[in-house]
Amino acid sequence: MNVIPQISKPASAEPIESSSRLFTALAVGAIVLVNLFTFRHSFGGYFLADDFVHVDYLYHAIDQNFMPLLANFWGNWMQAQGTTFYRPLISLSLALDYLIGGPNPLTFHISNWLYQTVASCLMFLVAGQVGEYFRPNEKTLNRSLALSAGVIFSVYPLHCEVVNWVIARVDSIALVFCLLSFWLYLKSAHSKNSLHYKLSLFAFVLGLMSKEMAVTIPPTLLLIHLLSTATNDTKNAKGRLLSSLNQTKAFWLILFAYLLFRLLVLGTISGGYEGSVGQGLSNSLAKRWLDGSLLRILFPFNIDVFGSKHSLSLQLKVVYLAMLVNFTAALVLAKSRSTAVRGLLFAVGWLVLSLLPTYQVWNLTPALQGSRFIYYGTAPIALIFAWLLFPTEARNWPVLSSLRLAAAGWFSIILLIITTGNNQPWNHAMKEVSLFRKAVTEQALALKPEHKLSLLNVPHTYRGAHMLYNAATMSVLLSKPLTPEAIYSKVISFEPATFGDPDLINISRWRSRTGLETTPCRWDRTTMTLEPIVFAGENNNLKLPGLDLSEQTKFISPELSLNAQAPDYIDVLLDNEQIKQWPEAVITLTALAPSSLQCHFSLPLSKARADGHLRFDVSEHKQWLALGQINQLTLSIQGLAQQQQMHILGLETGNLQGQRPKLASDEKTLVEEGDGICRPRGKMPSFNYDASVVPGAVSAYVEVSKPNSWFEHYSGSFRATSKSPEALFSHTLGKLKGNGVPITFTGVKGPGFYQMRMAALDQDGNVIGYFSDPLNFQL
Amino acid sequence: MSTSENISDTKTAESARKRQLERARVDFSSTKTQMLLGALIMCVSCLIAYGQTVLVTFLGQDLTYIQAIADTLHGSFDQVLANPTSILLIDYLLYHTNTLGFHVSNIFLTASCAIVVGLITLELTGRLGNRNGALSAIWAGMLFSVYPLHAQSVAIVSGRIELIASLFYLLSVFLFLRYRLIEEKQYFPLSLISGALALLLSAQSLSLPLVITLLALHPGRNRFAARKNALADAISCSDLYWLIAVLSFFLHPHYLGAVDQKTLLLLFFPVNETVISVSKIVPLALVPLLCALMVLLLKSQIAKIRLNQRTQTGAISSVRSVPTPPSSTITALILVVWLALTILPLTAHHSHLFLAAAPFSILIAILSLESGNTKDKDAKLLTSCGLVAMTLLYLAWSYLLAINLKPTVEGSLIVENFRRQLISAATIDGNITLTNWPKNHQGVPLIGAAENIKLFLAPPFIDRDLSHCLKVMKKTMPISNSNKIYQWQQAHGLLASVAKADSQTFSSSNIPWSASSKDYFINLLKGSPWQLVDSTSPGASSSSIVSSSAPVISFMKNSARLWAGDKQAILWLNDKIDQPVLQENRWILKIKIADHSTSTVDLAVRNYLDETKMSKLAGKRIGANIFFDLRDLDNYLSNGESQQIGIVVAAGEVVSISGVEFVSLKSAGKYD
Repeated sequence: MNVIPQISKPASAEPIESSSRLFTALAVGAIVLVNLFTFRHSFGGYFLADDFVHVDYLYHAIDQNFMPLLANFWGNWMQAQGTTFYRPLISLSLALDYLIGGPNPLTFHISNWLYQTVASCLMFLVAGQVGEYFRPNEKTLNRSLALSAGVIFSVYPLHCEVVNWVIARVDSIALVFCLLSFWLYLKSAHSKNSLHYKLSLFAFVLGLMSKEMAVTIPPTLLLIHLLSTATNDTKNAKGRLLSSLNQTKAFWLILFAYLLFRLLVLGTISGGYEGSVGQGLSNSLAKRWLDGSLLRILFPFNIDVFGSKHSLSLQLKVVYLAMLVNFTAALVLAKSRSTAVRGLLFAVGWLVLSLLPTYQVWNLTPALQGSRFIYYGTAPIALIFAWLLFPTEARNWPVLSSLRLAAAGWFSIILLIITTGNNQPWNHAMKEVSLFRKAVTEQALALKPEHKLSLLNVPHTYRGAHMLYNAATMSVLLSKPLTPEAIYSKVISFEPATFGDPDLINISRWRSRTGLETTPCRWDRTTMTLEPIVFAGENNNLKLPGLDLSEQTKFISPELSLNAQAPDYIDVLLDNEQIKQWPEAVITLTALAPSSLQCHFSLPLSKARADGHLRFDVSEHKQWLALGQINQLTLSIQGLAQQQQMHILGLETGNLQGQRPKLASDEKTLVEEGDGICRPRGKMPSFNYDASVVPGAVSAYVEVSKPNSWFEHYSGSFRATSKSPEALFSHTLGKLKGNGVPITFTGVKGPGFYQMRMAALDQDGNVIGYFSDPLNFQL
Repeated sequence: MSTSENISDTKTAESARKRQLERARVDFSSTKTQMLLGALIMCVSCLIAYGQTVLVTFLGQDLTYIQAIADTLHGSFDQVLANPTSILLIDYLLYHTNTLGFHVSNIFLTASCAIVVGLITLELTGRLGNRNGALSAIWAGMLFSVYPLHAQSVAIVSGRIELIASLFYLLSVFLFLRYRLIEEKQYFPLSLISGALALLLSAQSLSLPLVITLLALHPGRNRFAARKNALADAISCSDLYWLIAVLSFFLHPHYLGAVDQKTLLLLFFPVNETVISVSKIVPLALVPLLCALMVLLLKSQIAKIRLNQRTQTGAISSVRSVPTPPSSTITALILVVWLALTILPLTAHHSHLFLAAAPFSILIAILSLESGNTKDKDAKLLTSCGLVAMTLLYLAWSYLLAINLKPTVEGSLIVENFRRQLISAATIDGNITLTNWPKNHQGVPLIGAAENIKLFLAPPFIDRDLSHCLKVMKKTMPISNSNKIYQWQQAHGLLASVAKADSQTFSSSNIPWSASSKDYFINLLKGSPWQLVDSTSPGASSSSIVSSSAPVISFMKNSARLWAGDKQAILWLNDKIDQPVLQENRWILKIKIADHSTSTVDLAVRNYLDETKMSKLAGKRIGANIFFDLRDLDNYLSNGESQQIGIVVAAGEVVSISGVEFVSLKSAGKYD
C-alpha cells in the first residue's frame, strides 16, 4: 500500500491566519463606519473657494477632449499662472468624479470621503506592519496598536479641511498612495515577495504624481531600516546606512528621476506659490512656525467654534499625561526596552520628515485654516499615540491592557467630539455658498434685461472655512455648469481678482459702474439673504462740533442724512499734544444705517496725520458702502487712563476729488470686465489718465506692480501717499493728461495679473495728495 | 470491597435519607423556594415604591375610559370597541369610581411583571449552568420593579394597557423559554395565546416574534450540545409568532419611529427633566452602572488569568471532556437586541420604556451577578461585588422613581382641587364659561382634552348631570356669550370668577416711537437704566455723550433707536394688562422696525406685580414688522395675574423701532 507521507502543517498556522483575516475585516469595517459617522454631514455639502477653479477647468477640459488633463502629465498643474505644481493625478480624480456625476457636488464629496476612509484603513494596515516590523512576536499588542492608530487617524480633528473641501483631496490622495507604498514595502520586506515590492514602487510613483509630499517616502523607508533590530549584521553606523540605502535604492532612483523631470518640466525643483502670496509666505516663515501652530497639532480646537479655552482641552491633557506615564512605566518594567524606543523614534522621525516639505507653506491658523498641510503628518501622529498607548505587552497585568484600550477609546471619543465641532464651520460654509448662489440667481433673473446686480459683502470665509475669496471663484459659481443659466454677466462684483482683503473696494470703479441701471445688493451673513442697499441722503460734507470722551462714555451723533457713496473719509480732529500723550489709545468709529445695520472702524492715535487729523478712509470699505445711507455716527475710545478725558476738536467728512489723478482703461483696446479686471481686446491695449485735476501737479507718476503682487497686498489700503518699493516699473510722465497710452510702454511682459496706479508729482518729485485708485489688468 | 460492607453502606444511606424526609423544613438552597421568596420581596418592593400613588385621582385619558365603560354598562357599545378600555371593566365593577382599587390592581400587575421578569432571568441563567441560585433572577425582578420610568405607567390608571400588554408579552417569552428548555408541549399554546393578547393590546409587542426567534437561537438547549442547523430550528418554532404578528400589524400600522438621542439618554438617566435637571443626577445614575461595568471587567480579567493558569498547568485537556456552558456573551447580545427592539417604536408611541426595562434589568443582573465558569473563590468575590453594585443601583433607581412619581401625586392634588371647585361653581352659578384648566404638571398630563372637563360634571363621577351648564374655551378665541367666566389660576390653585376686563387703551399704540413722543418715554424710563438721547435736536452734541455700559434710546425723526450695550437690555412698557385671556386685542403684538433691517428683538412677559418670573417669546418677521403671538405663552394668558410686556434687545444689538402696538386678530389675519 502506498502511504503518502502527510506533510504536517504547523498546527497553529491556519487558525491564526484566518483569525487575523477576520480581525482585519472587522477592523476595516469598524474604521469605515467610524469615518462614515464622523463625516456624514459632508455629503450634503457644496463646492468652496478653489473648487470652483477646478470645476471650471474640468468643464472646459472635457470640452477639449481631455487634452488639458493629459497636458498635466508633462507640464505645470492646470497650466496655471502663479503656482508651480506637478499634480496630474488630482485633476484625473476630479475628472473621474465629474464624468460620473457631472457638476453635482455629491459625487465629489463621496470620493473625498472615500480617500479619507481608504487612508484610515491603510493607516491601520501600516501601523500593524510597523508593529510587526519592530516586534514580530507580539500579535495581540500589534493588533491593538493597529486598530487604535486606524481609529485615531479616522477621527483626528485636523482632517475636516481635507474631507469637506473638495480640492483639499490633494493631501488625502497623496497620503493614500504613500501609505500604500509604505505598506506594500513593509509587506515585501516581511514576506520577500517581489510583486509587493514592484507594486510599492508603482504606488510611490502615483504618490509623486499627486503631491510633492510623497518625496518623504524614501527617507522614511531609510529611517525604518536604520532603526530596525533585524539588521544586526552591520554593527557600525556607516555600514548600516549603506545597507539601508542599498535596500531602498530603487525609491531613491525614482525620487531623483522625479526631481530631474520636475526641473525640466516646471523649471524649478521646489515649486509652490509665486507672486505676493509666495513672498508673503516666505516673509512670515518664522512667525507661522512659531506662533503656537505646532501646539495646535496636539490641541486641535477651532478657536472660532470652541473658544480659546475649552474643557475638553483638560481631558486631552489628562490623556496625553496618561500616555506618557504608560510609556514610561512600560519602559521601566519591560525586560527589553529597545523595540519600544525604536518604534517611537521611528514614528517621531516620520513625523519630522512629513513636516519638512511643508516648511514653505505651513500655516495652521487658530481657526485651523491650513490644516491640510498637517494631513500627511497626522499619520505618524496617530502612530505615535498608538505606540505610546501600546509600547510593550503587559502579560502579568491583564487589567492594564483593558485600561489601555479604555484610554484609546476615551481618546478617540474626545477627538471625535472635537472633529464634530471642527466640521461645523465647513458644513455651514458649504450651505451658505449654496444659498448665496440660489439667492443671487433668483435676484439676477428677476432683473430687467439691461439691468445689472452689483454685489457687496460676498461671503469670504466662515470660522476658518474658505468660501468665495475672489471674483474668479464667484464667476464660476454663477456660470455654467453650476448655474443652469449663466448669470455672471448680469453681476458686477467687487471681489479681489486673485486674493486680498475682501472688504477693500475700489470706490472709483464702484462710482463709475453703478448708476441707474444697477441694483446694489449686499449679502447678509446672519439671515443668509440678499438685501438691497438703499442709497439715500445728502452728498454735502458734514461737520460735527467738538466733544470730550472718556473710556466710560461714548458719543452718539445727532441724526444725519449722509449718502454712503459721497464721502471718501471721515476725519476725527485731534490735538497734537493729546496724540503725543496717548499714542496707543484707539478710537472706534461706528456708522449706522437707518436699518440699524452698523460698521466699525478702529484706528490708533499714532496713525494720525501731521495736521492732527485721524483719517478713517471709509469709502474703500465695502461694509461702509453696504450701509447705503448713514444716519448716525458714534465715537468711543479705548486706552485712556481712568478718569481721563480726551478732547476731540471735531468730526468732518471729505471727498478726495481733486486730490488724486484719474486713471481708466480706454474701453476699446482694454476693456474692464464684470470682475474688475481689464483685459486686452487688441494688440495695443491702452489706458487714459488725467493728473491735471490735481492742483499744483507738474508731472504724472505711474507705477506697475509685479505680476500677481498688487500694491494693496502689502499696504492693506488703496490710499497710498508715497511711492511703493514693491513696484516692478515706475515712470514719470511729462504730460499731465493722456489718452490711448499703450500699456506696453511699461515693458510689462509675460502672463499675470498686474496693477497700475498713478500719482501727481510736484516740482520736487513728491507725491501730491493720493495715488489714484488702481487699474487692474491681466495679460 | 466485600459485599456485606456494601450492603451496610446502602442501609445507612437509606436510613439517612429517611431521616431527612421526615423533617419538614424550608430548603433555602432550592431555586423554587428562593424564587417564591423573591416573588414576595418583589411584591413588597412594588408596594413600597408605588404606595404613594394609591390616592392619585383619574388623570389624562382615564376619564374618557371610565366614561366609556360606564356607557357600555348602560348599553352603548360603540366606545368600548374603539378604546382598549375593557381591561378596566373589572375594576370598574369592583370599585366603581374609587381610584384606590384601580391603583392597587396596577401595583399588583407591576409586581406580576417583575415576577415574570425574574422567571425569564431564571430560565436564561439556567442555561448558563451557574445561575447562582435564583439570585440574579430576583435582582432582575427587583430592578424592574423600581425602574424610574415606570412612574407614569403605574401611577396613572390608563397606564394599565401598557402594564397588561407587557405582562402578556413577558409571559409569552417566559412560557416559550420554558417550552424550549423542557419540551413540554402545553407551554407552547399558552405562550402563543399570551403573545396574541400582547399583540392585540399594544403595538409595542410587535417586537415579540423577533425576540422569540433570537431566544430560540440561544444555545442553551439540550444540555449545551451543539445543534446543527440552529437557524432553521429557531425559525420553525417561532413561525406562528410571526404569523400572529403579521396579522396584528394591520391593527397597528404606524409602528416604527426613529430613535432619537434623547430616548437613549433617558434609558440611562431615567428622570423627569422638568423636576430635576439631568446633570444633577448624572453621578447618581452613573455610579451603579459603572459598578456593574467594573464587576464585568473584573470578571473578564479573572477569567483571563485562570485561562492562563490552566494553559500553564496543562489542565485544559481535562476540562475539555466536560461540556462547557455557553458564555453569557450570547445571552447578553440577545438581550441587547431585545432592548434595542423595545425602544425602537418609542417616538411613534408615547410609551415610557415600560417594556424596555425588562431586558435592561435582566441584562444588568446577568452581567453583574452571573459568575460564569470561574473557580469557587472567584465566584464568591464576584458575587459580593455584584451584590454591592445591584444594591446601589436599586437604591438609586428607587430614589429616582420617587422623584418621578412626585409630579403625578402633586398633579392629582391639583386636579382634585380643580374638580371640587368646578363642581361647586357649576352648582352655584348655573352657566359658566371656563377659560383654562390644569393641562399638565411637570410633564404629567392632567386634563388633556377640553371634552374631559365635562365628564367631571356628569355621572358616574357625580350623581347629577351638570355638564350642560359648562362651556369650555377650547382655543384662545373671543368670548361672545353671557356666561359667567371662570379662570383656573395655577399659582393660587384657585378657580376664580373673572369679570370681563374693560377695554383699556395700550399706551404705546397711540404714540409714534420717535422724538415727538419724548415725554412719554421720559415718563416710561423713570427708574430704569435706559438713557435717553434726542438725536433730532441739532448741535446737541454735549448731551449726546452717554455712558457706554448702560442701554440707550436715541430718538430720530421717524424712529427710536435702541442700543443694548454689552448686556441684554429689556425695555419694559408701563401698561398693566389685566386678564389677557379675555382681551382678544391683547394677543398679537406688532413691532414695526426699520426697512431692510436684519436686527431683531424678542418679547419679554412678566407678572405685573411679581417681577421675578419672566418668559421670553421670539417673534415672526413679516416685512418690516415683527409679530408676537402671545397666545403661545400659557404663562401670559392664564396665570390669572396682570401682565406686563417688554422689548428685549440682545447684547451688542442696535434696533430701530418706529411703533409698537397690539393688533386685532382680524388685522393679523394675514399673519396667521
